[in-house]
Order: sequence, then C-alpha cells, then structure tokens
Amino acid sequence: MRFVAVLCLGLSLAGCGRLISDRAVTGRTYPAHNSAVRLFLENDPQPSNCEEIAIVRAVGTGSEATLESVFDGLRKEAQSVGANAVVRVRIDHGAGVAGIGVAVRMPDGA
Amino acid sequence: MVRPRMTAQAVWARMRVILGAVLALSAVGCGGTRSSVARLAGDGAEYAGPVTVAAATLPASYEVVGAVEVESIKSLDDALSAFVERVREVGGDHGQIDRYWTTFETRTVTSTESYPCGTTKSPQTCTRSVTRQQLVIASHYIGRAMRTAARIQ
Repeated sequence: MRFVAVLCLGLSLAGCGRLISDRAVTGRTYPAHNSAVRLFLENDPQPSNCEEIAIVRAVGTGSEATLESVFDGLRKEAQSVGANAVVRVRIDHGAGVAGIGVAVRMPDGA
Repeated sequence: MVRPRMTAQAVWARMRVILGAVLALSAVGCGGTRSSVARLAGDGAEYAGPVTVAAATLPASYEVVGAVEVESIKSLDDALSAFVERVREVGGDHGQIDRYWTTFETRTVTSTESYPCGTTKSPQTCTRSVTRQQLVIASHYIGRAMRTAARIQ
C-alpha cells in the first residue's frame, strides 16, 4: 500500500513538470559536446570577440519552473550546437520560467 | 426525414476528432506568428539575397532601414523566419535583434462539442459550448533591419 502511494506521488510529481527547449540557428554550428557552458545574464558584462551560433530558449512549467532547470536546458541547447557560452540571458516568468539567450563560441581562455 | 442512427461509440469517436481539431487549431491561433515592419530609410526595394541575423554583435558598418517586431507562439525558428522576411521586405541584408523575451498567457478557448443525448431507442446528438483555459507561451523579437557596408551607396 505504501509502495503504491509513493509510486503515485512520484508519478504525479513527474507528470506535473515539463521542460521544453528550442533554438534558432543564426550562424555556423560546431560539433555537439559535453563540456561546460558559461551563462552571462543580460545585465552582466558580456564577453567580447564572440561568434554567434544560435538563439536558444528553455521553458519550464510546473515542477520544472525553476532557474536551475531552465539554465540546464539552455546549457544543453548550447552544447548541441557546439557553443561554449550563452550570453545576454534573459529570464521571464509567469505561469512558468523561461530563459532565452544567444549561444556563442567564446575564444579559448576568455 | 429519417435520421441515420449513430451508436454512442460512433458519436464519441466523432467528438474526439472534433475536439482534437479544435485543440490543434487553437494551439496555433490564426497562423501562430504575427509580425510588422516600419521603414525608416532606403529606396523601398525588397532585397532578394541572403540575410544575416545577429543578437549579440553588431556589423562593422551599417545603415538602419527599418524597425521589425515579431510575436510567435510557434518555435523560435518560426519567429526568426518571420523576422528575416520583414528585414528583406524593407531592403535589409542584416537583421539585428535588439530585444527578445517570452510571455505566458492563459487564453480562454471556447469550443463546441457534440454528445449523445437521446435514449437507447432513439439516439440523438446534442451540442454544447465548452470553455477551457489554455497556457500559451509566446516569443517576441524587436530589432532593426540594416543594410551593411557592402550595400550602402
């Protein structure tokens, strides 16, 4: 009985959250990777000499409506186009949390 | 006039198809993407060549020929395509996205659905109006259409 209750709770929590992400490619893409991706919020100083690759977005709703999930989604989208940073990251929130930014290739060591 | 009899299962099957179509249509609205452009300079000729887009870096030299705005409940790619088309329309060869953001809206969608309302002996189909709340996520771009160095006379 307890197992069923825990299973139901787990399933309901998993079913209540959704993270969706997408991108629009604006430049040349690079091979996908699993390395670190740096995020620069829109009011932070932005790195220079970057090569733009794509606009990326991640939207979390329900239990996925957290900055952590959204940033994770942005990093994954950036990795998939070979970017090593997402600049001008803007956060919007309402019925969920959305992050949108520009995936770029920063020069090594920047 | 003799009305052909429908079984309850057939009515429900038809209702599911109608509901599916209504939901699919309401999800994209009237096309799903809306955009506009205002000309600020230039000769008005549409540009047929390739259009570049940037959101974090500016071209070395440029002339602004228009202002562009796009709102889309479809993908970022759809919004970008609309942006590029508007840039092209006012003769730009480069689109600079100055601002982008996401909005969440709860829209009330009203649809009509059918349901069986007769008896076993005389089955009938009735209709009713159903109102639902639907979450719509929209992306917005505001930017400039530019002519870059190579095309400035």
